[in-house]
Amino acid sequence: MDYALIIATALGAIALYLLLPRGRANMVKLGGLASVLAMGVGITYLIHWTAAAHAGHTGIIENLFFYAFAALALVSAAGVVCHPKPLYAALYFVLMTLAVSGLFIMLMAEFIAVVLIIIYAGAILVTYVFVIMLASQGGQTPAAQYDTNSSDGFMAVFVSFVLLGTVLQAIFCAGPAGFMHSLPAPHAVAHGLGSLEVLGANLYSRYALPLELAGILLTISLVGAVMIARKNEPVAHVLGTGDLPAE
Amino acid sequence: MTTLATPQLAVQGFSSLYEIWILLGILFLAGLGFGVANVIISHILGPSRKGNVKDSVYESGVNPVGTTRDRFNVRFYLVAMIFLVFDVEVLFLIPWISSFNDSRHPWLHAAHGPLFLSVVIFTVILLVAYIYAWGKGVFKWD
Amino acid sequence: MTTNINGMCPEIIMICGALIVMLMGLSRNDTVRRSTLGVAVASLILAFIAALRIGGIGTSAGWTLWPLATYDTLLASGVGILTILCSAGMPFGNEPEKPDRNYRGEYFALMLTSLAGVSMIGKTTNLIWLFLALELVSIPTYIMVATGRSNTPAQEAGIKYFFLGALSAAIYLFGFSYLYGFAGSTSYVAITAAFHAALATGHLPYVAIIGLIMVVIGIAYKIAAAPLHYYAPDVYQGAATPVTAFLSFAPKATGFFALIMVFNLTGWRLSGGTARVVPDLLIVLAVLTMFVGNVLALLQRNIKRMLAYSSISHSGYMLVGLAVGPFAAGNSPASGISATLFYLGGYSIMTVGAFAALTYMQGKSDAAEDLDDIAGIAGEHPFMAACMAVCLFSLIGMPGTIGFLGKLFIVQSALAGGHAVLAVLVVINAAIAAAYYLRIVAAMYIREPWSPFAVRQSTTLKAGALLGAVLTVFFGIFPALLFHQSNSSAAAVRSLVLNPPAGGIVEPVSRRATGRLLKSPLPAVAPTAAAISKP
Repeated sequence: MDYALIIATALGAIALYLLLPRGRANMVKLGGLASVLAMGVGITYLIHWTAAAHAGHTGIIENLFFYAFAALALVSAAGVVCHPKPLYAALYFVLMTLAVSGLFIMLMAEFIAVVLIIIYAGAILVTYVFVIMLASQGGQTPAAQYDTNSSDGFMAVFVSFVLLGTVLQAIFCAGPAGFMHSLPAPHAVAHGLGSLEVLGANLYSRYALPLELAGILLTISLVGAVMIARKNEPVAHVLGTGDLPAE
Repeated sequence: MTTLATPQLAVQGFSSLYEIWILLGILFLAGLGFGVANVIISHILGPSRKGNVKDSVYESGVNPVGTTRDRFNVRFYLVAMIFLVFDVEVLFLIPWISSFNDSRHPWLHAAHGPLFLSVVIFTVILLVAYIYAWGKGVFKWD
Repeated sequence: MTTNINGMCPEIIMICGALIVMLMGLSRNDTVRRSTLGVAVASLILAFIAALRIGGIGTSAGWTLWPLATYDTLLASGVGILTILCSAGMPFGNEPEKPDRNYRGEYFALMLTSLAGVSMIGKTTNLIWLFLALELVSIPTYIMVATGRSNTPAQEAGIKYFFLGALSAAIYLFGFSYLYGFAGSTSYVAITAAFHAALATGHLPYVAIIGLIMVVIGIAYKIAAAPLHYYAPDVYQGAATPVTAFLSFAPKATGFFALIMVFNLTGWRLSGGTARVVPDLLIVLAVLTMFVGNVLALLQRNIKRMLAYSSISHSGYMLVGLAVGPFAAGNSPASGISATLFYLGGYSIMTVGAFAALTYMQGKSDAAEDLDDIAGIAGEHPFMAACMAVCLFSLIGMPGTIGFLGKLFIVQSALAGGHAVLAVLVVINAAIAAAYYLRIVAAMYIREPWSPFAVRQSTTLKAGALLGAVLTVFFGIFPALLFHQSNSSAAAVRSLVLNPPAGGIVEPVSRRATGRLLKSPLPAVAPTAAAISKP
């Protein structure tokens, strides 16, 4: 059992719970403080852990980018969950994608990083935004309470942080049952598995069948989108239908 | 991130990944600084005027009609969905193109049937999706 | 990865059928659109025949368990035909005469792709492939639930099913990623080797256990095991009845085959040390699922909800077989895996038969789903009432039906595996279950009709219900055919576990399909799974 990790996880849970959008009490500042504390404990733990693993070499400078991207990813992920306006939450999601793709670049998987940006920050975000626009009530009516307040926030935070805590313990636990002990050697990086050429060579030969399955999944999702969207037409008096009003 | 010198890095004149990170960091800070500086400078130097026209939403010079918080037509969603599907398809094709005529992977060359076929099948499956969307009249905007 | 292309023949047939049917649905000619049902059934029959022929590949080399894969494909295409006959009763859109307002073609295409996914699970050799196959089953079902009917409960069911399904997919994908982190490869061969090595030292890393638990939990959603069953009653009730029939079969079969594939990786030897939590989790899930399903079914008056809880409870019985594992009772049909697979086949046939009869009784409005709505229907429609009754008796487990044999094997396997308590719990639950199934039978035969019946006169639907009832009795009296399949599948699992293939074996590549490929050997550039697994 690693008490520092447990403390960091618990602080993170408290922070997220306080930051969740709620109508009644505004505890954002307290939540922000708790999240800073949680990240501080987490980063301190990681630095100590690296030092223990590499004979006293803390590696803060080398890992500066890792810490920066990871912190950005965490903060923006919290922003996705906690922002009361869905459109801003979607923009935080883009920020999180950028941060994670930075982490991928550090792992020498440039293509995956770019794909992450193109698909998530590009295509999926566009879809999100259209869905948000589609679902918006329109006009100046204030958003309904169930749209701005988190429901079952406690259960959600509890379950997700118990999972996070368990996973962290499993990864950082020492000894033969720990993750680092069982980790296979990083052959993938040595062979340049992240590079485009090797990816192409594998994707279209060794992984040809899953590739075709992915194609079928894409087709089916398009069919589903068309079926569901066409069923609900026609919607009168919405943007994009009818003539523009006279100036 | 230890110094993991790979042959590619040596060719490009870097001794370690560490150097690349420093360069990237400078680039990142420069980009961020440029953006922030522009906002601050224009705030300081620019004249501040108020008025109906100044406060209205900028819609490329066209007078705004109503609020932007309006409900959109479901067709926009369909367009986004179709874009998503074919975006992903193109992304799947990029690795293939990059290793298409690579002499190190001769079996990927067009002349070698079965593996070229996997690309063709993938494209045909998505072509069916395209035909389907066309047949359903998704591209008609009436 | 390149499993024998010939072995993939049934799935290729189904997917080609799906694409053809989808394009036919675009036709302006109503006859062409109506013939999609025939094309769909024809492609499933072709797939069935192809699977029977592939069965001849037999127990030959390679990692794929051909008997299991063949059983999976036979089940998917065979029961698939039943579900398609069932869906002759679909309303298919509000304006059937307008081609772009009609979704007959898409519906059958979704069904066929979903069935292709079910049939593929047994042939997967890689976690990525397994994940894609699971999604191939799920995504069409989300669409079918959301579009099958146009009333509010259907919309609610669609949303609920989609979000919870996506969450469960995220959970098992997370689990897969931990298994990948543990083994360094997504290939089954490498993961099996990693588990073998780790279990030999007695220290299974926690990440592997966490990965396994997440996979089990994620897939438990697919089979509607308690406590992940909450969606099932609402979704089963909200969806159009033919879709409900499909839901009671496809995700469930997928889930059980996927669980078997995943536990094959571990060699079914998790009983020691910290790894014990995984088999214990299976037992807890099994007991909870049986009781929750049966007890809550007693409280229902809505037949679709009742059958939803019934399908939950049947998952519980099958989980008992999984918890017992492949070792108990050796080569007899009472080995845990064999019992589960046999039960899965039997359950699929009888439950789809029951739903076919229910679809017939519900009428065009699709509204009659209360017990009162079918009260006394046996007087007016004795034939369909009899089909329904046969399937229900089989679900109870009456002797002479397939349901009886299924429960018998499950109980036998539990006893042979030293799980006497589980065996007793299965028997108790079978007794509880009889009460609510008999209420439906009693309503049909004993009570007086409340209002005139508006049944859906459809020969196809009648054929589906009849086929379900006949097969239920046929396999109940002559179980050897089904036996043979489930038993040889279980034997294949056992032999794989007892003699795991060495980590160095490269996955079989069909020479005929990729002959030119072999001129330049693949491992020269791409690191093989085996190379990664051996640092």
